[in-house]
Amino acid sequence: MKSAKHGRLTAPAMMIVGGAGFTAATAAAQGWEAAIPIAALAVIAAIGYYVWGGRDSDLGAMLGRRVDERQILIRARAQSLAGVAGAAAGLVGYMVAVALKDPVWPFVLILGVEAITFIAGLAIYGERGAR
Amino acid sequence: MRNRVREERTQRGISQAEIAAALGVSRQTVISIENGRYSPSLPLAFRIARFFDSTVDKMFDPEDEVDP
Repeated sequence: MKSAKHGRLTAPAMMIVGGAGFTAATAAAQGWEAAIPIAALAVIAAIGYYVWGGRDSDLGAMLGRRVDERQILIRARAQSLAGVAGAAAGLVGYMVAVALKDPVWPFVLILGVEAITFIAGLAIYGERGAR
Repeated sequence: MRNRVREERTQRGISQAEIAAALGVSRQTVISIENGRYSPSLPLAFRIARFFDSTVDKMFDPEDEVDP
């Protein structure tokens, strides 16, 4: 099991930092009334992430960055499933866009990125053969 | 893959949480291994075998492998 003493705090801390950035940008553009809900959302999300990351479950281990080999495999499978679902959604979106004569480039971009990253993944993680 | 992890663990009166901590894995992974739902990596299989003062081939039986 990967042990990172402060790993559980990393993502929530990044959420707070990112949320502060969004809050400041929103406050500058639209005023504090619009920014306060964003700040509140970031704090709630960070607290939720931290609390969930302490739970004794596979998801808790992933959020808390203390995964073992089985949880790494589960995460990789879930990411793979998400990638396949993203490609399927991109394909459906492309077909709908063609049917409606809407711009197709966003879906071509999604499918292109999916294809390129798949090939890159094979190149990075695959065995290159005996030497 | 069938294994003797649960049998050995209960014989020694060790909890799943204790063996998980000793092996450096989660309790959920120990449960999955005991139930045959997860086949551990070779390094983890060796750690399990050493933990029980046994060998990998005595702890794990690939002949009784079930479909994943």
